[in-house]
Amino acid sequence: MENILEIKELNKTYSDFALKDVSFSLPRGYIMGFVGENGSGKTTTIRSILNMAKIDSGRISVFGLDSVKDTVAIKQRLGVVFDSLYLAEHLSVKQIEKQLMPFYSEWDTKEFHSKIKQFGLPEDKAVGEFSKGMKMKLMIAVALSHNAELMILDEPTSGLDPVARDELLDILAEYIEDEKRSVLFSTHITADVERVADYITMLHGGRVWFTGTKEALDSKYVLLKGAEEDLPDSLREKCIGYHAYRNGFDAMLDTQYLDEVPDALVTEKANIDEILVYIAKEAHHEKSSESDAV
Amino acid sequence: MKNLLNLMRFDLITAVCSAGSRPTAVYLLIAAAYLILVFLGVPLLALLLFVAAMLMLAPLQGIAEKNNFNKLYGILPVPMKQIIQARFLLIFVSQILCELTVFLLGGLSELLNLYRMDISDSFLVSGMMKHLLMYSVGMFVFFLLSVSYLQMMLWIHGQANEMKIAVYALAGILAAALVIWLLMHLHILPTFTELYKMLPKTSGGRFALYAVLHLICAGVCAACCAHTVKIVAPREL
Repeated sequence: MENILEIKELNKTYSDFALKDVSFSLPRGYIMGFVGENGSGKTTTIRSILNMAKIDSGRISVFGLDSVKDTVAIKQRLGVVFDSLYLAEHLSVKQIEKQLMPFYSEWDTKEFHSKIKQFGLPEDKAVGEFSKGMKMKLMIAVALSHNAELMILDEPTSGLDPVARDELLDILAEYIEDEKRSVLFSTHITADVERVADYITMLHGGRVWFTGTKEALDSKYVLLKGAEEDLPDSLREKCIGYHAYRNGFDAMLDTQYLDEVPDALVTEKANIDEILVYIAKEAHHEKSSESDAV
Repeated sequence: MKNLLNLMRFDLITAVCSAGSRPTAVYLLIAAAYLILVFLGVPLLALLLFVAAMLMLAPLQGIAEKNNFNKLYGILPVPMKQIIQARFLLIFVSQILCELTVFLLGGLSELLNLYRMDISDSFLVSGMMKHLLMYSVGMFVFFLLSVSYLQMMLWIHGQANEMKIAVYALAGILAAALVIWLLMHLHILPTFTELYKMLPKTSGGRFALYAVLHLICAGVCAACCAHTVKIVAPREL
């Protein structure tokens, strides 16, 4: 299976945040959901792919090309949608097309106008007057009109109403139908990922916590609940985001340790939201322990 | 080169269709009406033209910042260096076009003998017609250098510092004017009248002088551009 995007040991340090050894790959023909809480490093990773952020070390390859050396060639074949409009708000759709068309060797005017019509966008109105959903659709129309092979979306669904979100996800699903194109979309709305993603990469604190198929993630973790006295110490150490209550505890557990779970404890399937929450709890717990040790 | 032309076109569409373009168009219409009515408005029209070009292009950086163009620059298949170069090239070309328009109008006025009409005699600026070429070159020099400097400062320091940059630029111009005036007053520098007398007497000599002035201005504009590229292009978007 050919990878359309490959990131290997990406490191990028800012004064208050760092990406540490981020590695994952996206095969051609699939959608990858890029999830993590706010500040986990999703946008920095995307900016690194686009060479908007200068990486400290590591390698990013898009279409087999180097993201730094071949950035111009890559961008010819890349469609990008950000969480906010990056086009001149005082211009109309027609004027924006006039601006952008000459930069793309494969710009298809017919396709652009067909998408604009399909999305119900007025061509002569200033785009600044568009709703958030309409602006998002305009950016997608631009991305779809130059035959982009990889679409990268940074938080495209945040701030959209459920109908607009649903439409957007349908567009993405349709986009990869020919199995030659891929989508990487970052979001913290995990319901969107559950709906359309084939692959998931989960970031936390600048590190990749999980990367793989959605099915692999589904079977990787379970929620563990029960009375504290029923939890053996050896298993307690393997719990993620352990939290004790007056009447018991809950935690997340890697399924490789399922054999060690006593019958008295209850296990449940963990969804993406829950996985993110327990990862965050674990990190919080580790931080508290470090502070206590100091 | 193709990228530079595309980027100039990109900036031109952004500027021409901006909110400020309508008042500028009205301003130009008034100038044109003035030219038709007074017949001899060429020198003033020249000033209006240069100011209009500046009003049109100066807000580009503000529009770019307001509309998150950094993100757009990050996804367009062109290097940041060319985006900056195209902006400076557009400024240079616009100033050259203003100058050419003034020459054309001046030539037309001369050809039709308009500046010799009675209505012009009482007009203060009519004398400038005799030195239209020098006058236009002077404006070209002043506006090109001012706009290039402002553009460089806005790219480097951002629109948020626009007022500070404008105040510094104005203070710089006033200080330079004051120093030059003082030096002229103390006869350290030749006065304008003396300078005028020192100009080459032949048309060929004057054209050569103007050509050198244009080259120097182009060089300064290119230096502003190169400095901007050096500072801004390596920045993260």
